[in-house]
Amino acid sequence: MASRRGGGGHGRLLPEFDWDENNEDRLLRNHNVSAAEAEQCFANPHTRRRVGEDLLMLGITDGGRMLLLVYEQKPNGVVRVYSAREQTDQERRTYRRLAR
Amino acid sequence: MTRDRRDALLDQDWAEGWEVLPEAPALVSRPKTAQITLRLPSLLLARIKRAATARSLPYHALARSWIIDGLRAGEPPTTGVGVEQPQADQLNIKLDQNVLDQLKARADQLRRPYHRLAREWIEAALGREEVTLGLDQMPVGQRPIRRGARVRPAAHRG
Repeated sequence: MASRRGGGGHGRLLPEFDWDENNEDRLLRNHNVSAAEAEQCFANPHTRRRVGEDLLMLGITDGGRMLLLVYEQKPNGVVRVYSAREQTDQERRTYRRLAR
Repeated sequence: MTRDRRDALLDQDWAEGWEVLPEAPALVSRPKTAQITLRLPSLLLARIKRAATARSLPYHALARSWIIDGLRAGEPPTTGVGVEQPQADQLNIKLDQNVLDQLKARADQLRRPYHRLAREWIEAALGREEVTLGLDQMPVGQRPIRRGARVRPAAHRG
């Protein structure tokens, strides 16, 4: 895999993120995923899909955690991350096949 | 806490149908400046404003400098004063994107929310600043004397 680095180090343009104490606290407390880790998934190779009103991402953090993120992209492009968990084994295989 | 619709999406293994799901919209790149919005007890915000008045600085700038100082010092804050109080007011602080990225990275290392880390650095620095400025014994409603301000002599009567 290409070198992983957050903050756009992968050469990918990052969106603006909408974090407040609600979604940040909740993500860390309920799912043990930090805001930085969620953002790293956007900077690193990933694959994204739409499910109804919600958006899903299979991504990877700089530390190698393979995560499924649930997020929203507002009309102005701002991204708000709501939820996350570790990928299942099958999702990891999908990630490895499709992540760009 | 109740599980919402988005949490319910985590229950499913998405590998099977991933490729037939529609693509998510393209990401839009971010601006160069960023902002952090902290919820604070009203009293804490009043104390920040008082310290800023005493230093003749905008309170946003003073709070921003405390966050940057906290990042430079590298030590996690040890105070938690005010965290349990109702967070009635908001403080919006504009930061350089790289400062915000550093704050998030430090919070990630400490496994703490970066909003809380920033607030605790501000509280800790404020406590030190109040001691330096002699504000720690002064009620918050009392107007501090600005540093460098001339004290007018009392007018003489007849």
